[in-house]
Order: sequence, then structure tokens, then C-alpha cells
Amino acid sequence: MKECLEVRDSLSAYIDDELAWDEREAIESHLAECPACSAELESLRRTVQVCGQLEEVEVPTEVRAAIMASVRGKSLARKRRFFPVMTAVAAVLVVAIGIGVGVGLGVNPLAPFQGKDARLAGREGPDVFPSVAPAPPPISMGVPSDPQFTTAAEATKDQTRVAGIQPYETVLRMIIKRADVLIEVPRGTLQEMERRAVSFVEAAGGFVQRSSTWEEDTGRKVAGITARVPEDAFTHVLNQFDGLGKQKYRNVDSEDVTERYIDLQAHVRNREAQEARLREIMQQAKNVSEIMQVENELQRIRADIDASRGRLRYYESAAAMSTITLTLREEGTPGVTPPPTGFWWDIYQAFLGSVKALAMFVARLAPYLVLLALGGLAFMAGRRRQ
Amino acid sequence: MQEEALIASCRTGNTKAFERLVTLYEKKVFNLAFRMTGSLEDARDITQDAFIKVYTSLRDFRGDSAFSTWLFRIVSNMCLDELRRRRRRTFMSIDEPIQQSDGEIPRQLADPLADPEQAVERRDLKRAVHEAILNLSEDHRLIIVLRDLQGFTYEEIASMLDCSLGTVKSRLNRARMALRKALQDKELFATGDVKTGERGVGR
Repeated sequence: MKECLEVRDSLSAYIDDELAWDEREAIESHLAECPACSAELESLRRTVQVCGQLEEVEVPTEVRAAIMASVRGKSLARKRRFFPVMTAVAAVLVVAIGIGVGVGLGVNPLAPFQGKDARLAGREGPDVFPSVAPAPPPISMGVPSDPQFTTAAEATKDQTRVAGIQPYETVLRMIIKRADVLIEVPRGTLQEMERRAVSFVEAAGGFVQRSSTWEEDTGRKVAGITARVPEDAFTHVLNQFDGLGKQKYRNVDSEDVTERYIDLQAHVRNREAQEARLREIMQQAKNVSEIMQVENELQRIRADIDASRGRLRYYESAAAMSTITLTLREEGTPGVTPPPTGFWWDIYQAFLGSVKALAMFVARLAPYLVLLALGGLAFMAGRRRQ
Repeated sequence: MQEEALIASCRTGNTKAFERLVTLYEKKVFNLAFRMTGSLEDARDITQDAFIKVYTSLRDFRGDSAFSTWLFRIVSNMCLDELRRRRRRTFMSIDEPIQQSDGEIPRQLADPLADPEQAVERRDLKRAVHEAILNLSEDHRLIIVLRDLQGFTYEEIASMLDCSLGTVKSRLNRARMALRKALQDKELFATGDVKTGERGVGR
């Protein structure tokens, strides 16, 4: 006969019928003679039975939707989740080094943004930020899979093209061009020159967005025009403007928004896939509270899609139509053009000064920010480790 | 089996196939996480993270164990991680006052017994069992949930927990004893199910 203690160690396995036949027999013969162990067996049985009574809870519908939305945005590659961290670190480093080098060389990183400053000094600040950004990284990362993609047979085919989005090479570069021009015209010809400037713009297929005229304290008349011209006519119109008089100032800058544009496109597609998915869920919703939940989520996503689409359209129109700000000014009597003074001018100078100071402050801080960012990322990674 | 075809299809990037796998297993995964953490919120997060992890690491799945075993091993580990993280979080302070700029204020905690409705529910057997399971040690909780709630076999559990059959047997035995004791302490078994209790144990 077995000892009670030994029997009790096996009662659980006995209940589950996980014992060899000889063990089972030994236990049964002990139980027949030991009421304490029998009671023990009963209470254990009851425990197991009570556990079995716990019902399964229902899975909230949004769980699967969230899984699938996330999975569609992922490729099957390993260690993918490491990339965003490394990219972020690299980006911070590049920016920090860039600013650091700029400061080290005595170059004012704000030069390109200080048009007025440059005009006064009679120079154009060296271009620290090249107007065309370095080529963005390949966009395969984080691009959503095609939501319409249905059958297994299609799977391989679908993988070969970059899912759901144009291959990078075929996306036109999105460059937003802007020019700021100041031209002096002979006294008395201002109106005529303004009319001609407008006709240049219209001949090029553009339009005048805003125009204004005013008179300076010295009695000199000035006209300002903001014109939008098709991107390919940009240089042509600028040259035509030069013919109107003596060019005093000209600043051209361009901003490459290709990368932002592509990212935004991907974002919109992602969101739309999510939206479609939620609509499917909506069909299956069982009660009002589920419907409300899905409805809320849908609304949020819809708002985001609308906003993003709006920005896409802005990029498209800004890239298609370049902006030229033309200022026409009558020639002043030689030597009469005084340096600008006055209360507002002082305020403007003070403001510029503070912007510069702020930039220098950030630049000096940059190396520590990098360290902080690295530390923070490491901390987050540690916390989210699984 | 059809499941193998699904998995193979998932590996080619077929998200529809993966969705079917999710549909097959989400309930069990979610319930395991719920019983382990006691929180629907955490169960939701764990279920999502687990399936996403499964999807991204499907290539590492060599098929030398059943897919379900592999899946539930991942989920089990995530649950244990979550509990560990939680312990780290809450171990900091209950009695320690909250520091504020103008001095400190005592920490106030909600009294779970304060809600009369909840107090009534406490007597509900299922709720009591649920709570008793949550009060078990993590190892005991996991093995009870896997075996007595989810009905996995000893072999499957051994493979999930990466331990021997003998360990499963003895651990499950101890876990059930602990759970029974917790239920007895709550006097849930006072209805004549157990008359003898500890009397007569040959120690």
C-alpha cells in the first residue's frame, strides 16, 4: 500500500488519467481504504471541475482588425522592428552633425531664411542646406500591402511589385519652387511695368494670387505681386521680370517634398485599408455599442484621411505651380534711400537676433540631445522588450 | 492538415490566410491572456502583440512542434513578461506618499470592497474562482489555465513550457492543491463537497 503523501502527489494525474496502469491500480487500492485521500481526491476533482465552468470571454472585434491592419503594414522580413529605431538614431545624428559642422565653419545655418538680412548686406548667405534634399531611402519600409489582395495564388505575384504603391523611380520629384524678386523701375512707369508683369504671368499660364500697391514715406511708389506660374515656366517668367528694370534683389529657393509626399501617400493608403476593414467589421457588428465603437474609430480615420488628402493636394498644387513674389519699386533719388529705421524695423531686428540665438543654443545642445535620444530609445527598447 | 497549408500560405505574405489563422486561435489566445492577467485591456494588447509577433517570425517556425504549441508558448511568455513588468511597476510604492511641488500627499488607493455591487458579485462562484486563479503564483496560474481552462494535454503543456512531463505532473498537482486551498479559504466548498479537509494526512 502506498503512503498517503505519495498518493496525493499523483492524485492530480490520476484525475486526468495520466498514470500508467500499475500506478493507477496502486492508487485505487489505497483510495479504497483511505477516506482522507478519497476526500482529497474529491476536493481536487471539484476544483478541476469548477475551473472548467469558467466560460470563455468573447474577443473584442477590434482586436483582429488591429492585428490585420498592423500585419498588412509589415513585410515578413526578420528584425524589421529594429529599423525605425536605427533610422531615428541615424536621422538625429545626421542633423546634429550637420548643424555642428555648420557652426564650426562659422556658417550661419539660418542664412537661407534671412532673405532680408542678405539683401541689406548685399550678399546671399552660403547655402548650407542644399535646396535639393539627398535622395530619400527606398520606400519599401512601412508601405502597406495591397488591401484588395485576396487569394493565395496572387500572393507571389503581389510580392514582386512593391505592394500597392508606385515603384519609387516612377514617382515624379515634387519640388516646391519659390522666388522673391525686387526690381527698380524708372519713376512714373510703375503702373505700366506692373501691367506688363501681370501679362507675363498670364501668358505663361499662371495667375496673380495677390497684388498691392503702396507709397513709401519718401513719396516713392511700390507695387507687390504674388504670382503662381506653372513650374516649367518658372525660370522664363523670372527672366522676363528682370527685363522690367534694374534687379535689386533676387532669392530663389526650392524645397524637395518628394519624400514627404510619398510618405503621406503611403499613410493615406494605410488608413484607407483600415477604413475598408472597419466597414467590414461594421457589417458584422452585433449590437449598438459595437457599432458605436466602430463608428467612432471610422470617424477618426476618415478625418485623418481627409486631412492627409488635403495636404497631398497642397503639395501637388504647390509643386505644379511655383510662387513668385515680385516687388516693383520706383527708383529713388540717388543717395536718398536711407537704411530702414523705425520702431517696427527694430522689432524685426530684435526678432531675427533672438532666432539666431535660439538656433545657436539648439546647435550647442545637439550632441547632448543625441545622447539623450539614444538613452531614451534604449530605455524604451528595454521596456518594450518581449 | 489544412492548417499547414494556411501557414505555408502565410509565409508567402498572404494576409488573408493569416487572418484565418487568427480567427482559429484568437479566442483561446485572448482567454489565456485574460485569465493570466485578469485584465481585458492587457489581454487585448497581448493578443495583438502575440499575433503580430507570430506573423513577423513565421519564418523561424520550423514546424518541429505543432503550430498551436508554438503560438501558445509565445503567448505564455508574453503573459509572464507582462506580469513581471507589472510587478516592477507596482512594487515601487503603495505606502510611499506622492511627491508634489508643494509637499507630499498620501497615496489613495481604491478599495475593491467599497463597491457594494462588487461585494455581492464576490460571492458568485465563477468570479471567486477567477480571482483565486489570479492569486496563484505565476507558474501555478499558467499551468492551471492551460490545463483546466483550456484543456491542453500534458504533452502539449510540456512542450509549451519547455519542461518534462514529470514537471508538468507535479507542478499541476501543486497548483491544483494551492487553488483548492484558496477556494476552501473562501469557504466556497463549505457545501459538503469536502468534509475531511486536512484531517488524517499521514505526514
